Amino acid sequence: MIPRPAVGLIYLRDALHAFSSADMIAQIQYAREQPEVRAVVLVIDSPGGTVIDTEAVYLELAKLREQKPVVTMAQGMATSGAYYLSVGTDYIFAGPSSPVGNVGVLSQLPPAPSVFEDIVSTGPYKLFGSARDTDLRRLEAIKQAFYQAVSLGRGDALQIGPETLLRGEVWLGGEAQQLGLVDELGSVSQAIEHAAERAKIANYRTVNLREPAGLSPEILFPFFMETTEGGLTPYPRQPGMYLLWIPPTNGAQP
Amino acid sequence: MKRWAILILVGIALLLIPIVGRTLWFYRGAYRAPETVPLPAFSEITIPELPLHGEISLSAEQAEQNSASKRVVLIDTAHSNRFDVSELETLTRALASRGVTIQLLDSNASFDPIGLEGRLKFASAYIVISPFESFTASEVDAVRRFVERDGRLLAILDPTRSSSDAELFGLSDFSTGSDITAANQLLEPFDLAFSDDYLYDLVENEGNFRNVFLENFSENPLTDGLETVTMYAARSVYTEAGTPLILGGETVFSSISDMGGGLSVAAMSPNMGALALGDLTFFQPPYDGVTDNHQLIENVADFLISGERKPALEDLPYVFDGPVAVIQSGDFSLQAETLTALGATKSTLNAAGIELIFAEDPLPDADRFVLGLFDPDPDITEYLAPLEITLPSNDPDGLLHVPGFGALNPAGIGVVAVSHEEGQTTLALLAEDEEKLVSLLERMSLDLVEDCLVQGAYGLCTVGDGEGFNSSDEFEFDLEFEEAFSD
Repeated sequence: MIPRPAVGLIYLRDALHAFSSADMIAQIQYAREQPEVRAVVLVIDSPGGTVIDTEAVYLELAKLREQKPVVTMAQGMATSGAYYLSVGTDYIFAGPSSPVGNVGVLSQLPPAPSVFEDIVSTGPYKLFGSARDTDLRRLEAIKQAFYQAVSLGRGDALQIGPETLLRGEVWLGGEAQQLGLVDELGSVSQAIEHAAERAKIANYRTVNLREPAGLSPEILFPFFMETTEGGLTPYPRQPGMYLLWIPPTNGAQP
Repeated sequence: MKRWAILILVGIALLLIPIVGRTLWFYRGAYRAPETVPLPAFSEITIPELPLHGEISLSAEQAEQNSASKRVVLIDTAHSNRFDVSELETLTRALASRGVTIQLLDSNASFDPIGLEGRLKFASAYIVISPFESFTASEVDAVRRFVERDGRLLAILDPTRSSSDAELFGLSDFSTGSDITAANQLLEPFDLAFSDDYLYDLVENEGNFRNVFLENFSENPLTDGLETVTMYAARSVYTEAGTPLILGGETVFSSISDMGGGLSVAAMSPNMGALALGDLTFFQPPYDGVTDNHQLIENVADFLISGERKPALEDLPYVFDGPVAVIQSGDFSLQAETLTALGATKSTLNAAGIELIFAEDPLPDADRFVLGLFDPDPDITEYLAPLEITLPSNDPDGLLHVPGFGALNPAGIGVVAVSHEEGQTTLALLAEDEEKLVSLLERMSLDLVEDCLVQGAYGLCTVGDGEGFNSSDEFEFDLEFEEAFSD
């Protein structure tokens, strides 16, 4: 009759790719449709991922927020695309040393258009999608959208301007709070309590939304490039546009 | 009725109590969701367009004037240079329109036996781009001397060439060295140095933070006609006594310091002979057409041919600019040995694109290669006059007078002298007799500086027995020359 309210938990513990974003969207839709789920906490430990998957989840979150409060807990890293999702929620918690930020886009440019003996096409960009220079400029457009999302999401709390934010730096949770990138340092429990307060519920239960949403256990999607020894690198396997933090390797910077 | 009503009310109450109880237990109010959740204006964000600028074409008069040039510009591909010559097409096209011949320096000695030091003897300019292999001390010295003799050096680095994708992705442990180290080693004598950075501008840029607009210019022919140039990932260049030419504004930052103001992407050496440029990308279409980049490329081409190199014996055998006519003393009959030596000289000059012509009558516009003996000969007197050499037969003591060297005993001496008048170069080889003259001619293709005494436009070589000077040789030198040589 009056079901016990629940705070739904959605975990993102992988890069944002086709599989992880589909899983998140299924859980977000479930939360939206279930009246007993009164609030949602997004528990994030992710370097971000593809542009399209990030934007897809971001837009679903916006729809959910029209009904229910959503709170982020940056338990591990919430960088790039993962931070993009965070700013699309009502409140952001972070661990004191959780890497946060890395606002920006990266891409591997397509090869310069050329023609081949045995592969024919009907236009200069049929095989390549776009000119290299166009790709570079699209990157800028995606960055602008990212910046707008941060600006809208953080509002007056944001203490830094675009010239600092768009440098793409990664900040620790404590620094991020001082700069207004997150609201509070805390834990998952605090995030759940805060979400419940926003939803004005008490004596609630918490539910990991994965199982109720009918999802099978998480499987490892081959998103990252592998080393010859079989280990994972922080680099995506496929060329494309990414809202992703790639930690420096061998001193190199993206 | 009243009892029934009471029972109904009690029933409703019993139903409502748990509802109200659970509601009060679970809820502290009603959540009021925002009316709208603001989203980025995805559809209104536009992709920045390339700010293309109209091309500048050479005037017919300028093109005709330029096509008369016989200059050679040497492009280095011998130092593990990370670029493709096709990336320089806009510059090579601009040079070609100025009548310049482009030559490539190859690292493989079997393909390029002349080498850097040899090619610098006849080149007008030397371009080195992203070298990942160090220069030898003798190469650095040769380039320094080349610029001192009014040759032009253009060094270009581009931060995008410093690391490969494989290195970035951590998939390659192979280190290819540093282009900064190699380039700065070459530029050190010219008070120029590249920084190990890239420039960026987060406030106003050309489509990406690393594509920077530059609007501050020092007065120099290289910056003529420039209002804005755009560099696509550029290194900054530092000079203490030289001239920073193209500078970024306050919002153009260096990646090393994340600070800006006064950072230069191009700088000129104090002697105006060496130019360091921090970007290669702007030479390539479509970026050559952005803002005033095309004008800058034209200016760079002008810079490369702006040197007025005077023929010097250090450059032997490449002291000529165009076709060379051999003029010989009437007393000197061509022998088989002479022809062999001249054939070798002809081959050497051909490598520099210079033709050696044997003609009975002097060609009015050709450079001159005069072969003569110390005995006076009216056939060649007019060509020797500008050299101001006094032959032994014209000296009361029978001594040979060579400017800068003073009076000499002519025995066993060969004289090499060069002059440049009214656009024509004359190289003269003089010796006591035919045998010694042939001996001198055979050394034409060798590095004369090594075993002859050279002072400005004159060189003295021992010919015949015991060729080559050593410390026991005695000459009456001018004091001025002694001082210069001891340096």
